[in-house]
Amino acid sequence: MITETATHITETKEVSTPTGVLNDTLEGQTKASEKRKGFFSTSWGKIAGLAGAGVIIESAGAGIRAAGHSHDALHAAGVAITDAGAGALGLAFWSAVIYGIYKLATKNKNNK
Amino acid sequence: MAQPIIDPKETLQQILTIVNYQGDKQAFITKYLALCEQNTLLALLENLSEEERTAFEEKLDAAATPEEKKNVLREQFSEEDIAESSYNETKKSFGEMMQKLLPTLDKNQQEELKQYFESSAKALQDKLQLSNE
Repeated sequence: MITETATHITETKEVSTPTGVLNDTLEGQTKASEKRKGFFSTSWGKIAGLAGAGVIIESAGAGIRAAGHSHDALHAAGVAITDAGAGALGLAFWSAVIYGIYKLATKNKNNK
Repeated sequence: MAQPIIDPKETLQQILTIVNYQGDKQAFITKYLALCEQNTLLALLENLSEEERTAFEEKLDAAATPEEKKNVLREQFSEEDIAESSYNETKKSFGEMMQKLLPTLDKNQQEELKQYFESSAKALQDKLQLSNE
């Protein structure tokens, strides 16, 4: 006699929301950064407070050199950044945003 | 201090509005930009050799005031180094965020976000052209 036992597996799928995903990603990235910081605890201790004081942006001044390191995504987005009087963080951020366009464009293309 | 062409805070604010972020937008923006800056600084430190890092720490020890410490930092890292690190670190974190965020958006939000990026990229191009003329 063969006895069959049916096993019902109930999958609980958590619905991901933009807010949840953004918060989780930021939290994950923050933890990763803190872990990374641990490797430089001595140096970091000596410059504590400077990181959030805008010194990076100040130091970058008006020079935009990131343009010289244009990522493929920038080319793909058809954006040519040559030179401008902007803070480095601003440019870096915009490069990243443009990278976002590239990712969106790629995703839409793949979905067609 | 030079101002960014387009304010990253404003951009993040727009993105959070489009995706209907339900939390404290300002807190999120502040935390994210601080993270970008911290990662930039960490990337710079990672690029130093052990000898360079030791020398850097000694200079920081000798600096008595925050202003002197800032000067040590400015002397240690060139604008090119900072810009490159900032670009790489921000691209990495923002790219990861986008990859995770996109599948959670409905078609309207995706389209709205795409249009916002495109119009912003166009505005950026126009500003860059103007500044070069």
